[in-house]
Amino acid sequence: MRQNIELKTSRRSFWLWFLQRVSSVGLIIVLLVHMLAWHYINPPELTHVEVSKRLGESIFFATVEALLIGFVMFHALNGVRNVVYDYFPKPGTRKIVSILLLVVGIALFVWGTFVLFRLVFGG
Amino acid sequence: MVKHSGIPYYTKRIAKASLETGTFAHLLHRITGLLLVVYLFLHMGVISFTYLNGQTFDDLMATFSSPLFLVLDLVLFAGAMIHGMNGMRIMLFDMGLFTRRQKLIFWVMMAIAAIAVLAAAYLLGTLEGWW
Repeated sequence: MRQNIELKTSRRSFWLWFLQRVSSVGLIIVLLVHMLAWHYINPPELTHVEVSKRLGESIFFATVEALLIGFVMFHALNGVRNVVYDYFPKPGTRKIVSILLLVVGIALFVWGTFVLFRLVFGG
Repeated sequence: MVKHSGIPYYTKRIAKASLETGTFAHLLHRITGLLLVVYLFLHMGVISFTYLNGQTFDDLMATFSSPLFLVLDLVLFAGAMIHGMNGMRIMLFDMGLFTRRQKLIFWVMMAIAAIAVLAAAYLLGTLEGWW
């Protein structure tokens, strides 16, 4: 039983470690696309009207932003989890923090993409 | 068998290592990472909530285009570059590359970050007509 728990924990640790690497590479690529699409190649004026128009033009822009939120949210909150795990050894504390970060991450991802796609499809 | 790495262990390790290159890189990665998280929350919160009101959004964007915020953008870029370049260094070590040259690689990465930030500052100043 104890061995099972340790195996599960180390498997989870591996996947979180691995996904932290995957999301970091994803972030570099998507951030570059984001900067080019919004600030360098034919940049829109930063007003509500112009930004909404750009988002409504093509689903591409909102998709890039949604990917960006996804990668950055995982990377940032898993990073916070790593920091917390370094200073708080109690399993109870760790569990509460992990669940809290997971809930916050999912909520912010849903909220962010909701705001984006509401503009794509109008409303 | 596996013991949790608690506070005493961690602080002792930092104290013992004093502030050698690796420890410095570790702390720098941590500090820039946490600052970027703070920025992320402010950024998403402020933009998503004001976006629901067009006028507020426009006023906000005007404020964010002021020189003070443009300089803060540079600070943000510096933080992201330091975190990103140091992150690449970590991934090189994960792949077993340059592990015997870790101190050199750290300063090479920081030099690349510094050059990128200086270039960005120059570009920003040119676009804004600061010089």
